[in-house]
Amino acid sequence: MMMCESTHFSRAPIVEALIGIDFEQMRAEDVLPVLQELGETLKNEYPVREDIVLGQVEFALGQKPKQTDTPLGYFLKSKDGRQVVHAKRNGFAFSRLAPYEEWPRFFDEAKRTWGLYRKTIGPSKLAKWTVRYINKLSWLESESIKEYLEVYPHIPEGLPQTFQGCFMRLEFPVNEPCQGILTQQLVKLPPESEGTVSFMLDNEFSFSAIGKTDSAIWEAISESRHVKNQFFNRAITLKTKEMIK
Amino acid sequence: MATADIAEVLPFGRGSSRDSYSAHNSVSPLREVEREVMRSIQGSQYIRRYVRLESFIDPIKELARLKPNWDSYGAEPPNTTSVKSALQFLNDLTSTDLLPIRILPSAEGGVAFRFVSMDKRALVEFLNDGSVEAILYDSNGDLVTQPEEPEAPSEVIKSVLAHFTR
Repeated sequence: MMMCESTHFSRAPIVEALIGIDFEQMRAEDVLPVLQELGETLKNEYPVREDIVLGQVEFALGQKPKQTDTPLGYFLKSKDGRQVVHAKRNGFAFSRLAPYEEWPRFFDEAKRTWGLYRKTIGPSKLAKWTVRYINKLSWLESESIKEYLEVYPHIPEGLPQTFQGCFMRLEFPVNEPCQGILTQQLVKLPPESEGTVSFMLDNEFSFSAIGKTDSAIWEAISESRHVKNQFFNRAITLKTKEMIK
Repeated sequence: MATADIAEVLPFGRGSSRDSYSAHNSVSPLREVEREVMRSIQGSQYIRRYVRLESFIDPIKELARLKPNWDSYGAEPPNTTSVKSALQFLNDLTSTDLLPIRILPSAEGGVAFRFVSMDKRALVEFLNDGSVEAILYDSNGDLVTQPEEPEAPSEVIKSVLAHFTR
């Protein structure tokens, strides 16, 4: 059993928090007008609608590349752009962009908008659910990554200890609130200002939703809060905790 | 309605997703990683926006290669000052919901950003003398506000944000 770590950071470096639920199969395009209706229902809080289009290119020897654009659904955005409902033919997601407020408010709005989406789109078999937190951390260029992060690429002695670019992707098994996977991505970003470095720490927890009811999934999503806190707390150093508390 | 074409995003600014994102199903582990990375980009509003903003970096740098009198009305090409300010502005935009639809040279000498959202429009210009100008207007072309004095970039972002969320 994992220890519950619920440290609250008043200056949490979260640039985006996401809760998503995917279907087993993509619904047909005739569901798009239904998703537009959802946009109308949510119009007061989410007045900006953007198309989501899947662009695909097929290559075959001796033939011209074939490009197809498939409409997937809509992004419904709040006026300030900080909250986004992803109403798609293959599932739903809710994004909260910076400044992140608190889990209960984020969770409640995700659950409320999912309820409306679910009611609009009708029965669909669920495949998986995800909770994702994307963080951005910056520090002085002269300081080492080890001072701020506990997760970083190990560079052998004798090689340059600075790196120009970094994209590290790890997958961990997760046992709570049920069997799942944490995909952790560490990406070096362009500096925010001269003399600094910035990294993106992206933690995405994915769990199977097959055969589960909506209420069981939302209960599990609620419980996942502690697991995501634990992984974040373990990925940062005391110095970082001091910096963001 | 704005179109958010997810295939336009680039995998962290390297290479073209139009080229690399294929419809073929494959069991190749590398292809699987590629697909997962694309999925993780497409799934995040923040990363999608970041990648779109990053795609403006090279076009801004390219503007500095314009020749004097590029518009045949005597306009100067953007200089190091305006290009540097424009790149910093681009960086500052990552923490907002603002995404320019176009970046173009300013006839006054500098780099201009055009923003469009529903019934609002804005033009922000970083000029070669280091000053910044923001013109806020509606979809009919009616001026909403044009500051009399040049503003600091942080103030410009605030006024453009306020314009689009008003």
